Amino acid sequence: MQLEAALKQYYGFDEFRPGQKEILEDILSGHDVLGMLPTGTGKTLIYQLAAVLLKGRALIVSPLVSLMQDQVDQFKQTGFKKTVALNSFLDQSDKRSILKHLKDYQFVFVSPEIMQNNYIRSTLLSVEWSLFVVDEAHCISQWGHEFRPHYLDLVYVKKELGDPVCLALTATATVKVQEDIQKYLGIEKAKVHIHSVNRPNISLFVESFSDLEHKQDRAIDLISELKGPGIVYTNTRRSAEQLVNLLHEKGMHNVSYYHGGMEQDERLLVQKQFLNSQLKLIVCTNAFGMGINKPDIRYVLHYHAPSNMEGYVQEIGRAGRDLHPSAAILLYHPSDLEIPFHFIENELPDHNQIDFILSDYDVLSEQTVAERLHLAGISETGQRFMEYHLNSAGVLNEKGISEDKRESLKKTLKLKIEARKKEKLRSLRMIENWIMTNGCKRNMLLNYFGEEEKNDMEYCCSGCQDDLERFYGKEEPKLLIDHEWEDELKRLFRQEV
Amino acid sequence: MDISRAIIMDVLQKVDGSRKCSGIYYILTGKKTAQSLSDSQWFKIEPYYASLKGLTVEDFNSILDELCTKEFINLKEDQVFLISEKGSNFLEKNKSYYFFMEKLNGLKYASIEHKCWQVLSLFVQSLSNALYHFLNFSPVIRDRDAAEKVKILFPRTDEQRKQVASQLYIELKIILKKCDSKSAEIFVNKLSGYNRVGHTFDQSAREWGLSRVEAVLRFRSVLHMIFYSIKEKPESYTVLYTLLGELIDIPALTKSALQTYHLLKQEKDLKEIMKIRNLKLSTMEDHLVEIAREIPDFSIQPYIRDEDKDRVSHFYNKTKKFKLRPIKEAFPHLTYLQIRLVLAKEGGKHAVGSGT
Repeated sequence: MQLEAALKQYYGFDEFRPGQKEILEDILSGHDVLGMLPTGTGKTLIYQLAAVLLKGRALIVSPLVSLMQDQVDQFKQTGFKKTVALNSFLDQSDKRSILKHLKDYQFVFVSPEIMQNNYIRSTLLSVEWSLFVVDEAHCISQWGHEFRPHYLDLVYVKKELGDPVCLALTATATVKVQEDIQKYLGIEKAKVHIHSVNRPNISLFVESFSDLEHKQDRAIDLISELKGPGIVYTNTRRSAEQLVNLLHEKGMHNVSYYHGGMEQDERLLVQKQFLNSQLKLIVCTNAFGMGINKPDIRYVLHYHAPSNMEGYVQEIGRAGRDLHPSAAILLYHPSDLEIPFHFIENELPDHNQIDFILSDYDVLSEQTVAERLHLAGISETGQRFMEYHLNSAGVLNEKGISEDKRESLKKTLKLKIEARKKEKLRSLRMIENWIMTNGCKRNMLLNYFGEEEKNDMEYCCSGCQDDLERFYGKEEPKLLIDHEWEDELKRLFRQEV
Repeated sequence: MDISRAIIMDVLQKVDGSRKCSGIYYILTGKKTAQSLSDSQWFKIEPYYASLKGLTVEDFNSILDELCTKEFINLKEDQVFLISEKGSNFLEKNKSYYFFMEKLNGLKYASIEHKCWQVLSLFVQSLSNALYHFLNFSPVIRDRDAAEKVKILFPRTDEQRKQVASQLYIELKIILKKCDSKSAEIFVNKLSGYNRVGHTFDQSAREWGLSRVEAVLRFRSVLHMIFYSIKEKPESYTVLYTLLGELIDIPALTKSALQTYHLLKQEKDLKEIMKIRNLKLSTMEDHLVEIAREIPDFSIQPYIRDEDKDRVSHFYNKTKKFKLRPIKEAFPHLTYLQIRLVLAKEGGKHAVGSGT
């Protein structure tokens, strides 16, 4: 009863969504919890309420550094004003000021990497924590679609913090990944709440094209017919911008792109315009769509296939959070997979780069392994990967390392990288397979996550003859300014006309 | 013709072959070096300092190529361009279109405009929403300093909010009326408030059929006009002054020169400062020149005798040459630093009245 009262008080809702209450009860009675809940079903609410009811402070580890500030904004808007994020985007003075007033915050978001910093870590240790939340917990597993090696250190941080109650959350984890999460976070005794990844109110549509132009035409047709608000995902910034320009040319003006290459001010404006329904559609890269939290998104359209099933499920999860019928549409062309394929091939260092990083100590240049790592020109993910493993091996800040040690390290790293690549390629093949195979898309998806098939859906997917046209419709466009600046200025300041 | 081409032509015209194009590139993109700062003033191109922030060298060079091909400019010698007659006729003919740029003053305001806009924009958004009793809006500005400032200055009661709103409305209206209507539209559309989130530059540009650069410049010209107005007549713009006055009063010094200036004010001598800050002599001299130029109250008396100073100013005013060497040749007993200090102060005199 107490739980429902709090739900009403903080959110104005009368009922919990499936899973929320059970997890809360376990946390409040002091159990660690592993929760797998589908995207868009209110994971955040769980730890917000838990911290409030525990009358304590929550540390939230999240890998989505560039979206952390969006999360903080959402917390504040929900009424949890004492929320802050600590990550590499902050400048020194902001960082210092936050750390100085750390005890005044109730929710602190951190990236796994920033806790490597001794000063930050010791400040975190100086206050008391009631809850240790590991968001996107699948990142701890090599078998997860987004392995973040620094997640492996969270178990030590947790111990240092005095083992507060741990809540590990993920939207998409296969059985193998679930086991890894418990093992590597040291929460083998956690209560496990696994919910189906199935989102019954989202219908799944897949259409294949052998001609790129046909696909583009189809996308434009759909965008002009489908009832918004909607999100379109592309796999590069460039294609997001190109598509938007095309839509503008067709006279669709309430459409904008949204990606990590934009100036922050402008990106924020687009995001808020979309939330305020001034825009009917945003076109974004996969990573940035994750920052959008709008309950009434009616469709998610993939203009390119994502690189794995887990990513796909997370991305379509932006749709229909209000539980109304929504559509997920994937327009596929075989060339879609080229970019993810290329990415997988080049993300982690190749043999040459590893040999360079761990080459014989050069007296003239006097470089440490870490310095060489930065010179090697590898991706951010690759650097994180190497940094973690070199640090674990205790050589990151060394100069001369014995030949034996170097050789064995090279060998292990190469093997690890090969394994990781292989796993990613396998995931890519899985989604390709899912796209190409005829049949019920929903059941194939459930099969992938080791779940039972569902055969009682009224509306299901393109394989089950669901009709995309039922998502067509026009909405009243929200009027932008159509008057002179003087009138708008009057309106803004509520001056009588 | 896109506005960036007009700007480049106008700068070439004013610099009149005295600088290489790399120097001009630094001015246009707002590089904070002693050279670009003082050049902007000497050649009276303050409006254009940092006017093309973010322009890449490649794009800059390809614009120069294009202008050459179209014979709007000519190559004088390696890396030095001059405007052609065709070019200067073009500028003359379109003068009225480019008139809004008179209100720009990148040299003075480029370093503070963003901070100021963040405060103003967040204040207006918060106030507008409060006037409609809508408290759960989502701020379009995240900067912690701006949020702190708005929080402190925000009127507490309904009555105060209405008063501040009426006053701010009047202040903005007066200033916007001094601008052309296109720039005023773009500025107001960028404001966020009750039930509306402001435009991005891309959206403004599209709506008005302008290049993005022009939309940005028009917006900035209004912003600079606001700064200028507050500074001229703070008593007429009480709300704007409360919001922005403190930010505008900071002299336009590079961060490093500002630190030197603070030490000078604590009556440390040059040797001490060089030691404290571990500066090279040449850097120290650059700072002095910058300070002399930007801060009217800063006296150069300790560094040069009055009669020498008067003779150098006289010589400079007679020849109006911006080059150091002829002056040095005329006054071999003076150091380059001494001459630069006098010129910094002379340039300052000319800057007065050359603004809007």
